Amino acid sequence: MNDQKLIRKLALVIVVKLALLTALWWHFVRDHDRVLEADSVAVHIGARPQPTTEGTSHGQ
Amino acid sequence: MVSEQLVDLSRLQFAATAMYHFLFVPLTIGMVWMLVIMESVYVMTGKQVYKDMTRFWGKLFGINFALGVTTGITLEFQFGTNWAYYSHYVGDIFGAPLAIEGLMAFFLESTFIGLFFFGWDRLSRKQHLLVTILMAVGTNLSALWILIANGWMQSPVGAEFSYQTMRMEMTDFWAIVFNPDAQAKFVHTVSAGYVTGAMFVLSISAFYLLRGRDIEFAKRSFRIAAAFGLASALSVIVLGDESGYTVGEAQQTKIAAMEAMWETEPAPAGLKLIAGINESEMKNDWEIEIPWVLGLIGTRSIDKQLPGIKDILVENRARIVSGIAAVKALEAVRADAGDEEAKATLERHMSDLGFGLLLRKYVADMDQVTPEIIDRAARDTIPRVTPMFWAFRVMVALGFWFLALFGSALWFSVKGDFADRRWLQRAALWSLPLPWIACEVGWFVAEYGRQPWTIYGVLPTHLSVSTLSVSSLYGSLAGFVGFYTLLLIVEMFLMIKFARLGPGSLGTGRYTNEPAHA
Repeated sequence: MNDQKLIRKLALVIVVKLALLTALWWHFVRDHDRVLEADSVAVHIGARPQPTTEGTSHGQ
Repeated sequence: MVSEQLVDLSRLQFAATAMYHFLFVPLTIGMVWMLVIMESVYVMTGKQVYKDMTRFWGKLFGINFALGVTTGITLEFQFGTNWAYYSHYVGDIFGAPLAIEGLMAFFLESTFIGLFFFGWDRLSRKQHLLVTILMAVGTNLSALWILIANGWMQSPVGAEFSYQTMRMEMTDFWAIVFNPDAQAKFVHTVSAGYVTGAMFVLSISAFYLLRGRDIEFAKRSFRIAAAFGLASALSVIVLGDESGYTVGEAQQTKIAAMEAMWETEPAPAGLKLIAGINESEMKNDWEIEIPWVLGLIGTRSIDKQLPGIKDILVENRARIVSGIAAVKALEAVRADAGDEEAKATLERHMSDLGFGLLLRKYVADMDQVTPEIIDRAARDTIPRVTPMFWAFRVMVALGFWFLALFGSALWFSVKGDFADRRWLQRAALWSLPLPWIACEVGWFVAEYGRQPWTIYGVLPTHLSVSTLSVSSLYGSLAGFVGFYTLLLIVEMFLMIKFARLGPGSLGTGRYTNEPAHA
């Protein structure tokens, strides 16, 4: 097998890999935005949110 | 409170993808310097065989790189999806080295790898060698920034917690860059990569020698791999010792667990070769020990003590109690930013805030904490000893095996009769998978030993995970594992195919399996 054939195969592998990664991202990541702010983190770890910023948390 | 199943699945997913990723990485890190050595000899001597060696081993390097590149991206997906609270809490610090690594990987490493493969007929010999050297530097710099990020997780320096933003903020970039833990981890990890690269070349060269084919090519490759491998194996052991020292300084819990050291022993502590570990009774039923060695490695002195697990538990329990005050003060400050007394209390107990947060695994309200809950949280601060103890010993034993193998290979190379010693060639061939095993168990010791923290002493793992659904995690875990398994199968197929073809795959007409000879 010469280098050109190998390069074509590796290029194909990379294209398939990027397609699979995109598919994984599309299915599992795209719609799972995690917008975190200080208040939501405070709630998560148990410290109460500050009254002045209450209601601005996006949470998850 | 976050479910344990969610935490365990998130950890499993990250561990699985990281361990798959690290099947590709060490070979890239190690092989690239082998290519620099081979091409340097070609440029200095002008001998065609060294150019052929650079091109053939470069081809296998290229296959590994093509398969391995982007396998780290799924880890970065997970920081955003599975570890959202971690990313918020420490993203300001952790993100910087990761971003620099991205720039290094894509703009330096990848560019020069492209020039390496497509520049043979377009660049002069010296220009091409320079490209190969820059490719090696880029690859290793890439590793440096990742390990700076990882080192910070093990030993968080140059940062402080802000109660206003609820995140760690960077105070000293250079303290993070020159963090002794990160530096020790970098040199130890890249040395392990060099051993992997050397073993790969040594093993496949031994295969050709055993088959009696491409003898001159195989002999030269074997000699270079033996010399580079011996230097690397020595480095990995010496720098592993340095890593042990920094671990001893920063994470006494980890070193105590690695050594199944339940009691604080008189200085300098002995190193247990093997032991019968009894975790439930917190003792070793029997042990074989080398006096002094652990104390010397861990403290670089003969009079400093390394604390045992039982003393660490007592200390951590006290820190958890202090941490309760910190968490309560944080709650008060978050409720009333003008509460000066709470601010002062928080400041006083800030170093134990992370220990207080360990209690969130059991109670939502700090007023409900009982002594039993504190005891459970303190017990959580010690990772399971048995897997730590044995994984560490597997890594160390393999390190000494590599030293013996490369030492023998170089010794018989210098004597000039290694090509007649089939036992050595067989040992080299069958040792091919061992560096990967050593690398994986090494990472296991480093990361499992950091539990229950994502950031040691600062952020507990159970507070770092996102609140995803368990079914979603199972789905993405299956997707990632399937994806990596596919890549691994393709990698193995191509590697075995081209290793069997040998330098004949270059089509120069000088080697076995050339189209004309087939």
